[in-house]
Amino acid sequence: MKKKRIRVPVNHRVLFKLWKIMRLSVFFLLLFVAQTFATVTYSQQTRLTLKMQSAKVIDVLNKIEDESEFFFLFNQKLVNVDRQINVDVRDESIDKILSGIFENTNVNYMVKDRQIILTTAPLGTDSELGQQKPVSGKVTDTSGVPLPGVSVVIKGTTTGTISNVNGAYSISNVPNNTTLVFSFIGMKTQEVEVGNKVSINMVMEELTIGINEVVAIGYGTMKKSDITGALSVVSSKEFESRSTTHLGDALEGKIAGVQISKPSGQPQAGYNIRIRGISTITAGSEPLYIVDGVPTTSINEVEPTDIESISILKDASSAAIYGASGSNGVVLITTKRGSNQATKVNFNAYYGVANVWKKQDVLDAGQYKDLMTEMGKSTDWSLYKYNNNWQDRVFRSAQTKNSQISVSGGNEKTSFYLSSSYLKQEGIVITNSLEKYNFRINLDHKISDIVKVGTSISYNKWSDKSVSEGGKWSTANAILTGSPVTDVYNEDGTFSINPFISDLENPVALLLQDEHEYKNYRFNGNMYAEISILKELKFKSMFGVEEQNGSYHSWIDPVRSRWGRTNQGLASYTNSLNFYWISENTLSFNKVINKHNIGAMAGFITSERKGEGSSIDAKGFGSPAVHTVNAGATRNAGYWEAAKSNVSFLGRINYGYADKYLLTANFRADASSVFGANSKWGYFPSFSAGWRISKEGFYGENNVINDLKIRAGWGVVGNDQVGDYSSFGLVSPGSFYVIGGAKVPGTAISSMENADLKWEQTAQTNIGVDASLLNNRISLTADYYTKNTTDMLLNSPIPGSVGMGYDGSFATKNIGSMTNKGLEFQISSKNLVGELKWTTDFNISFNKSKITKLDKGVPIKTGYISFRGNVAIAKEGEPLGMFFGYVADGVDPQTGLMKYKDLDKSGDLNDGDQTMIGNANPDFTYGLTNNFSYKRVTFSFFFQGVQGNDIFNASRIETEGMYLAINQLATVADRWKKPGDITNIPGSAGNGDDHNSLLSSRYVEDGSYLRLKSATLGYDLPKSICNKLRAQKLYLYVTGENLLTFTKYSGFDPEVSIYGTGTDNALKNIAPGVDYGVYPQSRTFLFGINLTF
Amino acid sequence: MKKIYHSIRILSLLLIITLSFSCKDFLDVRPTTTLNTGNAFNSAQDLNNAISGAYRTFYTEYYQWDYILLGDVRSDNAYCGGTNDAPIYDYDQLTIKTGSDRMIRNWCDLYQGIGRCNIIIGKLNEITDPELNKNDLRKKILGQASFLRAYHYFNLVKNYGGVPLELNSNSADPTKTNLPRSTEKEVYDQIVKDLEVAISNLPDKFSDDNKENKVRATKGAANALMAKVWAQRADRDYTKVISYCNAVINSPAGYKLQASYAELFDGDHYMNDESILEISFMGGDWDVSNWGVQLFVAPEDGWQKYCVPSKDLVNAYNSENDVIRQDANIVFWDNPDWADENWDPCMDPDIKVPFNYKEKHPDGWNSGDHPVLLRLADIILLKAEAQNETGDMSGALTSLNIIRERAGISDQTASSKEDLRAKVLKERRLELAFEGHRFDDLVRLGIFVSTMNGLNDYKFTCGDGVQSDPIKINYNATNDNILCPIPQRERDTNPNLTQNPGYN
Repeated sequence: MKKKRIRVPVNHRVLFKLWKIMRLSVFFLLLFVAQTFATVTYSQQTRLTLKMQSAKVIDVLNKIEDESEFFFLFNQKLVNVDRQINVDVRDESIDKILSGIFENTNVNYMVKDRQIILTTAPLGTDSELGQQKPVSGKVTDTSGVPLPGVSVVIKGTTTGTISNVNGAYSISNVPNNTTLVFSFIGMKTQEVEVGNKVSINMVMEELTIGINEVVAIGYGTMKKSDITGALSVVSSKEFESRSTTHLGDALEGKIAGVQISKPSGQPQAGYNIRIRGISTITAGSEPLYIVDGVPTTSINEVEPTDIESISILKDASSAAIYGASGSNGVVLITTKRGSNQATKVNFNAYYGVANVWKKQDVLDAGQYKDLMTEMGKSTDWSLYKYNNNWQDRVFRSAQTKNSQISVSGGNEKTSFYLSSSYLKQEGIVITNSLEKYNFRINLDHKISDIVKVGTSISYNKWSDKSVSEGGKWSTANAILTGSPVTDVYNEDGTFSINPFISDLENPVALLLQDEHEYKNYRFNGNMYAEISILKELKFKSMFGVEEQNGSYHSWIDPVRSRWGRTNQGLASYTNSLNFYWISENTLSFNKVINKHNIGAMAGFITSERKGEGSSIDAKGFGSPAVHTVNAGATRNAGYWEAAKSNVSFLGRINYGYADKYLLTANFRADASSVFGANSKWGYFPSFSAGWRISKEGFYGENNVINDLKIRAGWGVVGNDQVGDYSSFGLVSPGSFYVIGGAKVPGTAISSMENADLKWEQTAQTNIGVDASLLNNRISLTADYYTKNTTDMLLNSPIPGSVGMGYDGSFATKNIGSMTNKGLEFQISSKNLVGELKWTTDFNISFNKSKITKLDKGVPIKTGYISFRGNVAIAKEGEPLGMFFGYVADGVDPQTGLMKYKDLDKSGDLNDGDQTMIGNANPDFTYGLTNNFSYKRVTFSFFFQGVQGNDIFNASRIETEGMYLAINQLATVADRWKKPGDITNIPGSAGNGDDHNSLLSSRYVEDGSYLRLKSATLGYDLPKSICNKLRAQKLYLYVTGENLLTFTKYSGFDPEVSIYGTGTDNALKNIAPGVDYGVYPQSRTFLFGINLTF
Repeated sequence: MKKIYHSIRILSLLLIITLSFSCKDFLDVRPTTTLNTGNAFNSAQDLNNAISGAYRTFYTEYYQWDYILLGDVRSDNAYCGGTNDAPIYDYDQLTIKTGSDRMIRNWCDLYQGIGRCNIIIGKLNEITDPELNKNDLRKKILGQASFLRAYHYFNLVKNYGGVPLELNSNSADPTKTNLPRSTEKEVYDQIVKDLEVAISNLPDKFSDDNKENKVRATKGAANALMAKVWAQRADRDYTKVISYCNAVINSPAGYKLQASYAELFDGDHYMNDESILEISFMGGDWDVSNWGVQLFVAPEDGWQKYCVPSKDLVNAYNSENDVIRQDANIVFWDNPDWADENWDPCMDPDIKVPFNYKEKHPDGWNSGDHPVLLRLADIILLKAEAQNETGDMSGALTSLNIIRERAGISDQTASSKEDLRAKVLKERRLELAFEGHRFDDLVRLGIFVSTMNGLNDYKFTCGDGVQSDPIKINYNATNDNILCPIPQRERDTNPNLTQNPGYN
């Protein structure tokens, strides 16, 4: 069929109108094209062969129309079609042919599928049509990795394309005076004016504070803008540009309301994470950690580079869905998963050197001898000719090596993420080290449109060699108090001993004599299936397991040390096996009906944990050759088992109207085997609401406050960390006795039954505001909360006369209560957004706790200091974490003795003179992060601080007490020596007299500090170099950690809590901020590389 | 539609799987490596096991060493030693604090023993296992539990005076557990009552094996304890003492003095014929070994040991030329690694320092040495005291000299009742040193205060390697020191408890 040529003899304006009409239809066509991205247009597909000599343009066009389905639209007055040309093309595209025909003319052409529009160049820049040309380029993420699937659209139109697997895109006819819009889920949408550019490369930035970000909440996800509780999110972007060996490194100081502290400088010590203060006394105060849906007991093994994002549920309205285990808050960790993209290989490695950042001055050998002589100690000093500073013998430059490799990718149906990593970290104290291996596989597969399955599996091996902390002879104390006059070994190969204390070996000996290692193997995995029953209704079933196998062995040889000689060598071996499974089934519904956004979720969860362990102790070794228990003559064995099972029902309803009014209600019913027979089930409701004021009609457009939401919520959560069999009256089967010359079995009751035992309950109220200010340059979140804990589990003393023995004279009962109140602010600001970018994140948190009820009002004391008593107290009406003791009142110039205030006016020093002498709780904690980037260089630094807390420096009892024949800090050189001396250091006390070193305000110090926690300088190598390496990206960085510390604290480090590690929860909760031989923190310099293929 | 049907099928399957188990059973998790009150006391064998468990109270800190500290360090026999650790130094100096950790521990240890007996005595009435009626098992269990309860109450009443009489021990309910103190007499009456049950139910011997008879409560042990109880209580009855002593001395169990005193405590002759009741430890096994010995001897540890023999005690042995018993009870060793303020303040290599040597084999905290709780010599000397007090001086001297003869020293004579009383007391001191009896003896005879305040004891300091002049030790004893304070923690928990005089 001969097609009819349309000739349009009109002026520009008419042509434009027509153009507009055509555009509409063409755009609808393109809309289809854009939606079916893979479709290839006719113009791209068609190839033509033409050979015409001295032909008129019009004939050539006719020929094209004849040979193909193309047809031309043009104004004959404008386009000179009578020009003679030669055409000789073979198998060429229409684009190429036309560009040849109209080369060096003023004619422009536009191919719209089968239509070809011919027009002349616009007359001047005010042309409304504008010049059109192809634009192409490449889309990458900030690390330079190509991003496939990014939508590139001409602004105001639906014309566009998507980037291919190499991140490349190309759009053929782009008007000059238009703008390209680049968008991708999870990334910031960006616009670029086309102008004269024909090549536009785009670097996509991830949304970090975007209100449309989707975040993990309990058993689901939600748009951040819809959240009505208090929830903080940290994405991997915020920590992956520097080295992180522990999740805590990534979180410390970053989130308002979350206090993260390193209780010790040992690499394996991990972090203490407390969300909104501590709301329990005897139960655990760590949050609930959930990795990819499976609760875990420890996050030490989680590899930070595998983490995609972390959601922290801080208030009851977000944590109530975790019911009886949510009262300490919940940390949801989501690991990285693959996506439909080209396979990406990522290699990370760093190497670092750590050193102790502060040493303390101690007496040298001469001063030590003087002090000993003054204390009435004499010995043949000619036998002791050394002058050691033990700090130099014990601290070392410690190396850290870490490498991690990950591979991720996938296609439409299946995606994967594989990773493995290795860390070897030495402690700054000789003998101290940590080694970790991690492997991870995350897979997802779509079986069909309705069924999706996946798995997350990780395996870790952990081994560490720890150093003793806490107590008189802990490493950190011993290196200060070790007698400077001896070397490590005597001539006979035994360890040298303090000249006056014959069972006290030197500090290096204390470290070397006890050989030990802890190992842990952990498997963590889950599998899920998600079925889309209807578009709106999904069923998800997940089954997860965690298995841990730990062992600990220790050995003291029978020769070198006194303790070893007494026992003829000692060895121990302990192992434990724990298995946990969880089955989780949830049904969720989501539907948007007009302006109503309705969501609902219901679930049923069962879980069980079983553990077993055994221990063998042995002594009596014939030689130091074999270090294991089998070689000991005398052996002792122990065994335990524990189990806990839980059943839960849960439900959630959320409703939003026009993105303005938001409501969420949660409910969970929890039953646990650890609760007493009379109180098996606990019920935990929560309600919260949000109002996005900025969406209201009356609010209008406002460039100062772009988005404003207020939130309020209330809920009840629990703490179910009740001992496994606490509700039972236990009868020990190991009460053996020797009758008839043989050990016979015996039983003995060891605890009283309590059928009423149950969870601790915390009711929380939260009020918060989220705002975006100044063109979204500043985002601000503020929250106020109250937490009321009741039915708090306390070890209520029962009279000894009941007959449970000294260790069993407590019964755990739900009797205490306490409150926490707090205020927290988080501000993120983009200070500079040009070529030089500068962002600042700041957060500050205030929390106040108060104990409102204890068993019979009797204070609980703990935090034992050798031979001095307990320094920490929990008392009604006071916050948790108070120090208790005498009030020091200076040194008596006449006697050189410490004076203490006679508070009870009894005339002498007794218990009545003890009072609250310090508060370990900070007034506030804060963190400040600054990120700068200029071209390829990035620089960031991070300050973190606490203000207004006290530290009880019990180490000084040993290092300044002068009551034993041990070395002391150089500060004691100012001690009182003769009547009339005015000083604040009392005289030497002689043997054993503790009067001058009682638990008193003398040892309470201001623990405030501000610390430059880390600073990182990074450089993205130029493409040219990357290309040579066939890499997409190569990033190098140097990091310094703990570079600066501003503090008045006199000990090794203000970031201390000797009772912050270990398993005694009451001790951890009641006695924070005690320094009693805490392993010091180190200053580290690291060099790292991040390579992507 | 088919898809939906398919998903519903999968769903129902999953729901059936998850709901097919019973919540109730799933949540019923019971301890597996330990018993509980529901399954521990149901049969004769269970009660037999519970009796062994009740004996295990003898492995608590009180019986490992604290009763020796209270009996000997608190008296004129020994000094604190150690590094003058505050709680033990307070025993020595008669300045025990109400908050003392040792006080509450001792209290709890003793009541723990009582509690275990209470449960057994209570359950004995409920259990109908026919096995209990064979071989007098029910009687044996009742007798042993009654004896042990009496023994622990005897230690409580001696240390603390009138204490709460807890005879049930099955509740943590404050309305049932916050018992007020009974009077001393009421406690003694309960002890006598329990011992009468013990005497009427216990056999003289459980078997022909001393290894069983000397470590279990027997009729002989109950009689011996009865004799001590009637001597110790304020309303003492020496006639009863003599009669119960005779019941021991003439017992069909055949108690007789070991020929050699040294053998009694050499570690190779435990569970001999002289022994009435001893704590059965077995060396090597940490579960059932004696760690207390390490606290008295074993200078190789490098730290000073506790319960250092006093100069007064050493002098007492010397004054009688009592070599055998002194060598058996005290060892002098060359200067160890520490300064001893009583014997060797300047670590003079020429001075030998004494140790409590009653138990001799510390074995690295794993000793098999047996502390002897009741033995015939104690009963014979108690009889001598009672004979003297009831006017039978010659009988008393006969009893006394049996003991002296065995010790290889000359017979004693006496000029008066008072003279003989002092001589019997001294004999008990030399014979029974470091067995925890001295303090009770002084209290019983009403001479504790005068003895302590009359001591001419001294210590030294060392300055620049030179021993100081002697520094007199003043004990400032009063009658209030006879009783320990009721532990403060116990009073905090049970507000119905009053404090002993002299403490606040």
